[in-house]
Amino acid sequence: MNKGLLFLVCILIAACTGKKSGESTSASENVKFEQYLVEGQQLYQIHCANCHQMNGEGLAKLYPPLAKSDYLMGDIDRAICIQKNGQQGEIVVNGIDFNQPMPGIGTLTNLEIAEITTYITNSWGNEHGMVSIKEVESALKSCQ
Amino acid sequence: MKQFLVLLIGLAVIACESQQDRLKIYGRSEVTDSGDTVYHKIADFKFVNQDSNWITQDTFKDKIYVADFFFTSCPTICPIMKTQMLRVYDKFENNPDVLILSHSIDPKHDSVAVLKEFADRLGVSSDKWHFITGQKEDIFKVGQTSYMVSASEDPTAPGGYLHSGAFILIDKERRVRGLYDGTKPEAVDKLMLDIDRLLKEYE
Repeated sequence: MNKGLLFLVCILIAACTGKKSGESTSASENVKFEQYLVEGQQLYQIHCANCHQMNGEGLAKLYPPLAKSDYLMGDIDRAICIQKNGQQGEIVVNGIDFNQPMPGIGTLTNLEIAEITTYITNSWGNEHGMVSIKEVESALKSCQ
Repeated sequence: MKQFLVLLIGLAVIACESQQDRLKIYGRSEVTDSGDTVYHKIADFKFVNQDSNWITQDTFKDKIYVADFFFTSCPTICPIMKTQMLRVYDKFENNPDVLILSHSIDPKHDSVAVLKEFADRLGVSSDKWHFITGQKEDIFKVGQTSYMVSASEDPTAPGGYLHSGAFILIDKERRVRGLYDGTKPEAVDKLMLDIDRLLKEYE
């Protein structure tokens, strides 16, 4: 039993150290991406799902969809700003006009916004890739 | 004797079961001098709906209905309540005996025009689902004294109002027959089953 465990540990160590440095970076990037998705989903459920729904489809013509949304995927910096600062007025999403104000959540940290944005841009058929804290920082600097 | 006892117990069980088929009647009840039981009733009311029509207790004569309290700009529990109420609407859309009454607790912002747009965007018909506005005091009062739920202004709450997420089931005699958490899908499942049970009481 003990020997078996030792063997397993050895394999694990070998697995971890055996890779070239380039590969291990991309592996840790993948882990980070997964983490962002998991954390982002939890934050989404707390802050966003009431209106945009768990499946990202929105609600009728009241709350716009995020799933396969041209408005979201066409300008992700804008989506970052809206999470932080809110939005008012009419917008057109996938050809349908919506006009319900969205309150911003000023207390969200840049990490949390990165996690939420990563989650919503990589769920329900959306495929964008990870959104980093740096991207959030630079987007927030140029909010209108 | 033994057989009689078994029969008696059997009858008692049946009686209990048929009792359980009926929904509970909520609130304080009183027995009058003549021996009748008087139950808590929704008081008379008069509000305006999304079509600018007066909505009173007479609108709900011979109907059962589900009431709730919300406001259109509410960022917290209202959207989820509306999602859930939409399930009730969809299920009973073609049953003229079931109506829905949503009270705005932010009448200053939720004018008739705002409610009209909200209902239209939700895609629901005003014959079935009334969104009403009126004097804020009247709406808070009917919530607290008739529907047994709380609603009040609270500047510290997101959106400025604190309110219950309850759905309240009212029968044709204006009595409260059920209170459900309108933010929980399983509670709303129960509400829809209870509406069926309540409809059966009138068959």
